[in-house]
Amino acid sequence: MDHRARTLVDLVERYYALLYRYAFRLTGSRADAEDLTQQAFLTAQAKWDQLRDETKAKSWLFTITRNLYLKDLRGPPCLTSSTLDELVSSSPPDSSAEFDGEQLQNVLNDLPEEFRSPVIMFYFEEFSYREIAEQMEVPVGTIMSRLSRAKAYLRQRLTASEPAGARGRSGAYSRETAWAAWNVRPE
Amino acid sequence: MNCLTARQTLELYRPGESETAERDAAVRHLEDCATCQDEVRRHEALDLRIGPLCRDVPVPGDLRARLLECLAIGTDAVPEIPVELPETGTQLASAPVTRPVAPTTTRWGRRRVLSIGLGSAALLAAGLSVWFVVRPTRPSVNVEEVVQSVLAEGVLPAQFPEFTKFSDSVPPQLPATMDSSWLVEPPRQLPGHEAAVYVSSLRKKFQGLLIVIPRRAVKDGLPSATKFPGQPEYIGLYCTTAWVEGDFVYVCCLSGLKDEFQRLQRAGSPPA
Repeated sequence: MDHRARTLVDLVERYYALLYRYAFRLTGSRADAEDLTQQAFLTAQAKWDQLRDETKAKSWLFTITRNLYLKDLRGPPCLTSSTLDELVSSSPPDSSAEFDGEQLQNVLNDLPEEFRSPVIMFYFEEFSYREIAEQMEVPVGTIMSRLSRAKAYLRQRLTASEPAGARGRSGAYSRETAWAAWNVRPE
Repeated sequence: MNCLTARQTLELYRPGESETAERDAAVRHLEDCATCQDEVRRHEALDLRIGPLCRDVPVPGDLRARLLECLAIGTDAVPEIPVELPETGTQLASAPVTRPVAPTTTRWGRRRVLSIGLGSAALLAAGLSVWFVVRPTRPSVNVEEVVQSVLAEGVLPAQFPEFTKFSDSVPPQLPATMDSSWLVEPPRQLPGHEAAVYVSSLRKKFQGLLIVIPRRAVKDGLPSATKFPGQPEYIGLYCTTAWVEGDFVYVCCLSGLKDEFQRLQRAGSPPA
């Protein structure tokens, strides 16, 4: 077994569970998460030469996973970022409210991806803000702002009763709705 | 420091990552603000519950093995198949002895077959050449696929070769209804698609791109808008819009908000 194959096997051993969990929180589906994890490792294998620094392999794998996710835009349509702020009320969250993993996933599903990814990575406690920013190719300040907004939304949805309009999907964010908005007509 | 900044600073504080001075200021604010104390305590309590719940995703027991198996298949795409060779002597000894078969065609017959074959090949080649020249150009581009491909590539212009002309020798044209002055880089060729891709940054703040596809090449339908900015919508991280103008279909993607599109609308162009 050559160095590349050995390293790849090592990466699977170390990160497959973490990557699967990330994929699951992104997609909200076990089948999609398995598929995404597998695709991520296959892509890593195919594009191995693009990994210049092996110490950044974890970040690289997460970036691949996210890019593959964005490519297929798996998962249900979510809210727009402007709607997100509208739904966060000023009432303080009830920290004693009960919620479970499924409810958390439902709320994550509603978050726009650019908020969902950082907040998942924040709670995974695996990456620094700088690493999250590099993965998402935005400044660190943007990540902090998105985290703050996403966390506020999460708190609101998880601890309060369903806010009005939370499921309204008033803004299109998915590929399907974007295409519908463009009103593509047959030539 | 106001209440909101103090709460956000403390909420996102991580040792070694955040400014200690800012945190100290936020802590000082907290000492004098009972409301913030209460709020921060609530947030911390919730984080302590949300974090573990977020990480608590059961991983399928056989996933690791399946991944390793899958990667092994990827590495050894051509499996080594043992080839059994017959033992010398035994095969020859058991094979029946046959006499060489006499050729069934005469010399003349072979020549005739050869000339007919060559003639047919020449005719076929001539026919194909004519068809190649006069064939109608079939629409082959799916706008959705092109946009997804570009966005999936991470928009790295250097990896695409420079674009010059479409298959009908027409160069890509910039739209009249959109301010294109920010597209300072030359267009790039998206491999596998008849599409030119301009990639540039807008005011050094947003990454943006413009995809130009010949209208005749689009196979699955055209956007209804005929002017920029059309009806912008988000695709992934990009605010995106598509419209038809003249002989081209344009798709503009920008990592900014929809408001940026309004600013890019060319002066004098009526609202879409």
